[in-house]
Amino acid sequence: MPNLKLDIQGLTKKYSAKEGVGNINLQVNEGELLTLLGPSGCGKTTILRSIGGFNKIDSGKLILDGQEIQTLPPEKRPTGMVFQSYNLWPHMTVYENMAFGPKLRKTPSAQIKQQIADMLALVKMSGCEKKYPTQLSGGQQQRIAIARALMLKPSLLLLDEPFSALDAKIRAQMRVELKNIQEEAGLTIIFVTHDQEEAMAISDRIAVMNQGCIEQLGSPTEIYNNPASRFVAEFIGEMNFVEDTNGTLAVRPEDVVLKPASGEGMARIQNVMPLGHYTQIVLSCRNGAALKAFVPKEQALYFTENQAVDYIFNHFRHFDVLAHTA
Amino acid sequence: MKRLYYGLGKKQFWEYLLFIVFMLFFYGPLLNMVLLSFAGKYEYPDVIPQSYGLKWWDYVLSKAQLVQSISTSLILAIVVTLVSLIVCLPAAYALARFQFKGRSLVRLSFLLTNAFPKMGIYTAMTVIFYKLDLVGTFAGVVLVHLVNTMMFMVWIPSGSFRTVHIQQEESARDVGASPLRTFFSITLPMAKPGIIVAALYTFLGSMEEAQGSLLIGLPAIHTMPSELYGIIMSFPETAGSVFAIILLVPSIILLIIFRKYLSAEALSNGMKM
Repeated sequence: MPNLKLDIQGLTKKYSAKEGVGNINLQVNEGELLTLLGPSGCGKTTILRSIGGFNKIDSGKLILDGQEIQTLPPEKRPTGMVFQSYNLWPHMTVYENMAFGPKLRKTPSAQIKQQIADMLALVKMSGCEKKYPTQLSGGQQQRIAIARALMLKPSLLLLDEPFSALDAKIRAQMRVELKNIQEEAGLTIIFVTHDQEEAMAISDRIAVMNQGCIEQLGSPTEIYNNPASRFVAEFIGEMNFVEDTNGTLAVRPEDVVLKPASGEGMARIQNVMPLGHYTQIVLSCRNGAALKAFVPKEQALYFTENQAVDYIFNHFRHFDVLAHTA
Repeated sequence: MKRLYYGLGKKQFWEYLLFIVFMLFFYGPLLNMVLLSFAGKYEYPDVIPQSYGLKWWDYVLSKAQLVQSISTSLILAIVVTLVSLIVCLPAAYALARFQFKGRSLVRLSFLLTNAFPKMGIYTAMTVIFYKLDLVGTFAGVVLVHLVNTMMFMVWIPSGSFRTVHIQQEESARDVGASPLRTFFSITLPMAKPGIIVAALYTFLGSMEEAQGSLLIGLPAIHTMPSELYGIIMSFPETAGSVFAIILLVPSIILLIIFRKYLSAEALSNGMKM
C-alpha cells in the first residue's frame, strides 16, 4: 500500500459559472508522477496553481503530508513549482537564481554551493553557475528551473506544462530525463499537460480532465485500453467511433484488422498513407462512414487504393446511446 | 574646396555639408555661451569676446543668493526625485499588474497636466496653495515639480514593470520570498533600467523647471532657473552664460553616468497603452 502524499478533498475554485473546477477529489501517492491531462480551459492548471498557493480556493481541503495547506501563502508551502516559461530571473546568474531560496532560509553558503553543484549535476548542467539565463537555450533554462525548484527539497514538485515551449525533439528528451530525475531523487510530481503523448510517456497515473471535472483516473494503459467516457476515448490517442443499432463502438485504428475481399467487401480503401513503422489506411464503409486502420508496414503492401476489403475489430469498447450523448 | 568636392563625391559632400550646418546649429550657441562665460571684455555686436578671463565666474560666485540657488536647486531636484519615486512607483506597479475598471483612464489622467499650457495650471495652483500657506515654501515648490514629473515616473516604470513576467514573481514566492521581498529582489531590479530613465528625467525636469518655481517659490525659494530669469534681465549676458553653464553641469554629468540606460526602448515601453 503506497503512502498518501497529497489528499485533495472537495477542491472548488470558480472564476465564473462555467470556468474553474468544482469538487475535485484526488489522492496522490508518495513517489508517483501523476499527470493532469486535458484540453486548455479544462481546469488542470487551476488545480496545480491551487496546490502551489497561487490561487485562492473557494472551498475544499488540501492535505500535504498530513497538514492542511490551503490557507498558506505560496512561500510557506513545501511545494516547488516550475512554469511553462519565464521561470528564471534574468538579472541573476544561474548560481544566484538557485541560491535565492536557500539564502532566504539562511543556509550556510558552503552548503548552498555544494547543493547547487549536486543539483546541476542531476539536471546535467554542471559548470554553468556563472551563466546568465539569456545565455541558455529554452531546454537548458527549464532544466535550471527544475534544479532551482529542487534546491529546497520540496515535498511535492508541481510542473505546469514545463516542456510545451520547447521543440518536439528536446521535449521528448526532457521527458526521459525528468523520469530519470524523478526516480533518482524519489520525487512526487504533479505534471500538467495538454499533450496526451507526453502524458502517456511519463505518467504513473493520469487524471483526464474535461470542463472542470476529472473524467477518468488511471494508469496510461488503463486509460488507453478502457476509456471510461467518450470524451476520454476521443482525447487519448486515435479512435474510430462506429455507430451501431444500440450505441457506439469505439475502436482503436490498430485494432481494425483488414483482409482483401473477394466480392463487394465491407468497405473500400480510400487512402493509403505510410507513416514510418506503420501505415495508415482510411476506409470508406458501406454506410458512408470513414474508418481508420493502422497496419504494420509489411502487411500494407497487400492493399492499394480503391480496393474492396473486409474488416474485423480485434478489440472495441461499447458506449450506449445515453453515454455517448454526454 | 573643389578638391574636397571631387574627393568625397557629390553625395558625400552634401551630406557632410548638411552635417556641419546641423552641428553649428546645435552646438554653435553652446560653444558661444562657453566662450562668453570666459570673457574678460565683451561688447555686443562681436561674436567672440575681445579678451578672456575668469572675471564673470568670480562675479557670479561672489553673489550669495546665486550660490544659494545652486544648492537649493540640487536639493530640490533630489527631493523631488525621491518623493516622486515613492509616490509614483506603487501607482506604476498597480497600473502594470492589476486589471481594474478605468485603468486606461487613470493612465491617461497622468498625461493631462502635460496636455494644457502649464502657466494656467500654475496660476490655479498658486491660488489654492496660497490658501494652504504653501506659497513661498520648499514643500510647495516640490509639489509643483511633482505635477510635471508624474507622467514620466508613472508611464516609464509602468512599462518596465510590464516586462516582468508574473511567473518570475510567482517563482520567487514559490521559493519562499514574501510579496515585499519579491518586489525588492525580483521586480524592482528587473525594472531598474526604466526606473533610472524616469528618475533621470524627473531630476533633469526639476533642475530646469522655472515657471512653477517662480510663481509658487518666490519670494523665499530661489532655484537656479528662476534666478536665471533675473540674471538675464539685470546682469550682462556674460554673467548669464556663466550661470547657464553651472546649470548644465549636473545634467551633463548625469547623462554621461546613465547613458547606457537611455534607450529609445525604455521610453517606448513606457508609452505603450
